[in-house]
Amino acid sequence: MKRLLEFAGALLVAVTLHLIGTRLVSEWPLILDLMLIVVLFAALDGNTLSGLAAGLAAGWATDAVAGTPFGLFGAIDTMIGYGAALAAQRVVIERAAGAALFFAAAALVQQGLFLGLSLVLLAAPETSAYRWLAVKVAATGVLGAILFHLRQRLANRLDLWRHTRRTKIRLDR
Amino acid sequence: MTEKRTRLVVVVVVLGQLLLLGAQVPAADGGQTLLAGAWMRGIAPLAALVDGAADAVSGLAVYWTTRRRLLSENDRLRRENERLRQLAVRNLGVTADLERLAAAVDYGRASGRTVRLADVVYSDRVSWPRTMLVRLGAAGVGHNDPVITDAGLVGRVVGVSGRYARVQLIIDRSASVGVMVERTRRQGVVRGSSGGLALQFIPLQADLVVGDRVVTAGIDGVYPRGIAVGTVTRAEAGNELFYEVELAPAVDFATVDHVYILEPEELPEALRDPAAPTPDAVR
Repeated sequence: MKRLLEFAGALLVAVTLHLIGTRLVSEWPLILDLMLIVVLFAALDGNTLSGLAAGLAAGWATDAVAGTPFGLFGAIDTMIGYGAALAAQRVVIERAAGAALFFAAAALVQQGLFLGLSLVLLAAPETSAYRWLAVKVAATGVLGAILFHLRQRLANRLDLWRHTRRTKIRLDR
Repeated sequence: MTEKRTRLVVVVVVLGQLLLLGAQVPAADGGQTLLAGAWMRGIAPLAALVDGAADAVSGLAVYWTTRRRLLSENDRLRRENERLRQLAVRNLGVTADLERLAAAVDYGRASGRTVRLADVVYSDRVSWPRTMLVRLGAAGVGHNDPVITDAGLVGRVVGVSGRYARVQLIIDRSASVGVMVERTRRQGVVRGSSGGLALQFIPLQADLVVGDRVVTAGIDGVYPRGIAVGTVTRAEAGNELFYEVELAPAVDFATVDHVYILEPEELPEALRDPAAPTPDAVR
């Protein structure tokens, strides 16, 4: 339940930041997909079921925001969430550089799937967005690495705080 | 859950969504599925909240920095309003004359459409699809209703959910509009392109110059005649038959914060296609 609430909160923040970003910078949707980053964090622990569920929910949110045919990003992000969880089972990510590679690769695969489905579904697919592909992949990698690093630091601080608190209680006795 | 079952769930979920996609592209009447509508209803109020908050913040900043300018502008607008009122009174007489003359020659002018104001709460004009989300003042807007600003044509409604509607912009790749060159009345089709707008099917022997204004022709059954679409910025011989024409849109989509939605004009009973859905059916 706690994880579900964390995910829902993160998705809400991602959607809100996406809306603010698009208002401030018109190219925002081409630069960054914050909902994808939320999916990848949900999949990082290697649980495929939570990865695919996170991908499904975040993909539907992306479809609702972007106006793409409903289920397009739902399907893509489900595959990304599941694939990322599978990858996380096999690869141990401890450093920010590894996280950057993981997030950037996921963004690249997502855009590849999006292009593939667009070519299948549309008579005249929009190709101008692919000029921004490198920017999107790089931005997702960098932001993912920063958030990964911050999350690790926060977790370490929390552990340290918990440990110190326990020690103090013992000393007081 | 075992890995095998999870794999099965992935396959089912992805296939289910691909089927969902297949059912939507192309949508029979352009209406939204219940699921899509529910998600749009969930996301759109958040977009409206962000839009409102941004407006409030920028409005406050603008107020403090430009108060003096606003006061003088207010004064100028009052004077202009007075002048326009006088003009409107004079035009009343002209309108009455026109109506009398039209009645004398039995000319039936296109009826005035109901115009609804809507606030833009989200606009994506760079990625695919190029759409905007608008908040409606009142219900009653339907699929395919034309959307305009005072500068020209914006697009058409492609989905309605509660008090929110999604508008396909004319610069979207899958959008097309029946148009004519205002100066020569030559008809063509405007489509969205990566650069903005492209005018198609203008034959090489047609009279077309850079700077020509292009307006809706009223022949596509969606947009009424005479709405500004854009201005010709480049016209070169394309293939053997037609010009390759680029247009600068009449509307600056970056600055649109509210739009007007026109109610569709109903065809006379005798002209209606019995197989086509009525406006009420898709509303």
